Amino acid sequence: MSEGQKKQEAVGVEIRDLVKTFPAYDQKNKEIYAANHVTLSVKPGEMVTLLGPSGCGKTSLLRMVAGFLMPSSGEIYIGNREVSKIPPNKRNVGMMFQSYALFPHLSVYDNVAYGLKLKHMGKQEIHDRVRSILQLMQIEDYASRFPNEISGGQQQRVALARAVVTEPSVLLFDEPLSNLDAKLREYMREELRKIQKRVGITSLYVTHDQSEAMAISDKVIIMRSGTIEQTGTAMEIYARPKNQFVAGFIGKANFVQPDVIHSISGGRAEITLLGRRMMIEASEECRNGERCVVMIRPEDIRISPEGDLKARIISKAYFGQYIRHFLEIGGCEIEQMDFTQSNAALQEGDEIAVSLVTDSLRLLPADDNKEI
Amino acid sequence: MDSPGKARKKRQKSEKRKEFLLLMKQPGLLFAIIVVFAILILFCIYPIVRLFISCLTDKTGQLNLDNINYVFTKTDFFQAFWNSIKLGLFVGLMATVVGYLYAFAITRTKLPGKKFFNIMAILPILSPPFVISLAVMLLFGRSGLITKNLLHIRGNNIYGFTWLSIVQILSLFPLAYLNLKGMLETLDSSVENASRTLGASRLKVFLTVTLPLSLPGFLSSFLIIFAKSLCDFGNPQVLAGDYNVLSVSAYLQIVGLFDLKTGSFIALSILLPCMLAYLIQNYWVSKRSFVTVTGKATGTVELIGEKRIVVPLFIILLLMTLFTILMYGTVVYVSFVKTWGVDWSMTLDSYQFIFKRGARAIKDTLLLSSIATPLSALLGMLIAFLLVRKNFLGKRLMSAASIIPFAVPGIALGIGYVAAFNTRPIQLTGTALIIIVAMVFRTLSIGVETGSNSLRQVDPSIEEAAIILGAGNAKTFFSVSLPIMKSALFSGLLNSFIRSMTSVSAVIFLVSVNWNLLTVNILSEIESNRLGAASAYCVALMVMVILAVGVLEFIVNGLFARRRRSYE
Repeated sequence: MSEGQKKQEAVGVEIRDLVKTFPAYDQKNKEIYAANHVTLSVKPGEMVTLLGPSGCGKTSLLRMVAGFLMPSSGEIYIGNREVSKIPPNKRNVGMMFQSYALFPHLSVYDNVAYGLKLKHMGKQEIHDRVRSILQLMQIEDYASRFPNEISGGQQQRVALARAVVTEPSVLLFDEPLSNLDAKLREYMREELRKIQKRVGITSLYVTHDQSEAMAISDKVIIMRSGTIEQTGTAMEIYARPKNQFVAGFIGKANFVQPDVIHSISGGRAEITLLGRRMMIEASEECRNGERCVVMIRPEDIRISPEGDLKARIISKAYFGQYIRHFLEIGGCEIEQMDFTQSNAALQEGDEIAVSLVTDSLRLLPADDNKEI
Repeated sequence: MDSPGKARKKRQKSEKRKEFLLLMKQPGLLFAIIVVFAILILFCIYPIVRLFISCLTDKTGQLNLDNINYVFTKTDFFQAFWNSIKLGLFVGLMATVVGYLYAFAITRTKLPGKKFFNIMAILPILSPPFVISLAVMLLFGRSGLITKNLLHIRGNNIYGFTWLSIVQILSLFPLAYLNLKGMLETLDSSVENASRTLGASRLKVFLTVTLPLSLPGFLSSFLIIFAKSLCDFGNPQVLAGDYNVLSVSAYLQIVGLFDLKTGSFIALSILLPCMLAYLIQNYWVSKRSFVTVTGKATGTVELIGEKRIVVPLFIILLLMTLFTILMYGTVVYVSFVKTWGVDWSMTLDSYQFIFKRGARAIKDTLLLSSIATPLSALLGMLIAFLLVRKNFLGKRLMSAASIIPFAVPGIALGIGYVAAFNTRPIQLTGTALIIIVAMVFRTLSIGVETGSNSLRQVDPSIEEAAIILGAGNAKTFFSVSLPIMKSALFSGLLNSFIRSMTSVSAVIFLVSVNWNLLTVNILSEIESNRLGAASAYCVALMVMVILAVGVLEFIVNGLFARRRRSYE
């Protein structure tokens, strides 16, 4: 690695009790929370994703870290510096925009050199740095082209090169891949992750695409209506969501109302589900006496002759790696994914036997205003 | 319910304070805002306020309404007022109809020669205001080519409502055309297609869909042209004759009777209907517009090809165009003729005359316009940048102030400048500066408007990208926003140059022995019946405008050329 991309001393980001409100459009005296007492931290060198539906406040949060939006109250630390009163051009933050935001009147080279020139670097140093970052991004052949003369994927790389070449302390990503087609998007997110790890830069990444979040981040933060619903690795969140909203947002899930909840204690619950009494995991947010639902992931229903539940196939569809069935079990419509390929002969309308992987089931507080 | 409300108010207050503190931390931005406000207040608001004050007070500064009483009772003010309104309504309606015909033919039919018609329709905007008046005098006047030589009508009287309204319609319909063309182009044509697929005939589609959807645009064009007709000074001064209108009457009070107060009051009275039309246009009509800009391609409209529709439209447009060509051709021809109507031999006498007598005026006009134009365009772009991209207190005031000199009648602005700047502390009358300033602010809103429109189409994150890379506000403006606004800058420069070169009413009271302007010379040549010289001046002015287009294009492209280098 050349000097330009030498691993720098990475610093973390801390957000403490951040509040941002906007006046509501329809009602004069109401306001909407884009951030409702948000506290979070990103460790040095870590890649953290803010994931949530549109309007959940994730972009506002990112723009507050960038400095384009003023928080109503609260503090933002980059390293040891409290930055919420510092204008964005003095925060030493890098950012990738959804639209790439390349300067249309400047060549690829000058786009990347723009930030370095502002730092009053010598001509030779600028040249060396731009060269080596363009090389790292594999776009050195396009240095003299203009943004409208290169492809979307190449524009993406130029935007990333421009953002990291100044060695910012934090890199912010505002849904940078959403304008690419599906194939390129998957490829670019691997690239992004590789380069982020190589440069070792602390990053905050906003997306509404759960698979993107799972693929690139050390830590995922699920947001809804200005609040953080859950923080953790992709695996933690998928396997142990705190509530119905999170379970539905990360991955697919069926939610079935248990017949009886006998007891909840110590992260376990004894319930009767579809006529069977069982012990399953429970979210710590489940309370006795409040409405709860059982999360059944589609892959946690197994089709086998030994199964203890009767089911009928409502519809089936073939997806290559798996077959998806909609089953009717005990009066509920339940989505099932079959990765075994051994039940391909089953037809719509067939009566079959299924079993539940009870270790993977989870009791969650019900979400009565689901916003998925 | 009380405490959350209080908490909210407190939070909003602290947010406002923080925003203010952030502004204080950007001294460049703060400085720019304060300077812009200062000059807008001085040159856009203050002169008009002074005009009001001078109407309502006597020499000692006491409130005195005798002046108004005098205007109402001793002058033919009401007659002139009613005449102006009548003219404005008629011209507004007719010019809008003609403009709509043009716009419809060009956007909705398979008319041959669209490009040509488009250029010919815009021509009157680019030319000095009296070219058409002058041509009407030459062709239809007492010794007019058509009236006297062809039809043998003696002493045909062209002075009055009829020809004045024809000339105004011809010179103002391009505004309606441009406005309505833009509206028809952006109107989602899929609704017209939908109506067609539901079984409607062409006429039915037009009557039930296109026309109702065009009504807001129609109304806004009408209001704009109504105001323009009211404010017009050049054409009525030449052609109104006994048909007394406000702008001419204000001018005559000042120049003929040396009565500044009465003139001021009459000029101000034009302001009222003008502003009313402008306000209705801005706050009422524009909100009812059906134009939706979604950024989504909406499919093209099926162009009308039926001969029974296209042929009549083609004939109408062709006749209008031929008439326009006849007008301009006459003026060019006359400039080379010895004595119009008497001696038809070709000569350069008129040009010799204007280059001898009017060399100063030509030089002054070029010089002052060339100084005013970049100032106006740059200031306009800066204001556009502040209005579209920045948040600060008094944005609406800034926006409104920048429009005032454009929206008020030129006569009122000119008198206002005289009233405001003829005594100390700021004594500018008689200097070049006052003419430059009048040109800058008269044309300012063009730059603001074009700049704002182009900035709104540019993704703000391009500027944010510059900021996050460490660029301050000034750096962002000059290295990113301004180059992106290049084409807007070009049309802003061009437009303000043309307006500066061809303005009459705003500067007629500001010229002096030291600094004279072409348009004022043209007017005096017409008044002294030296029509050959007037024509030669008009041709010279048009040539300069055309040259300016080329030069400006060259400068702007050179300034912001995309430089492709090899980086090895």
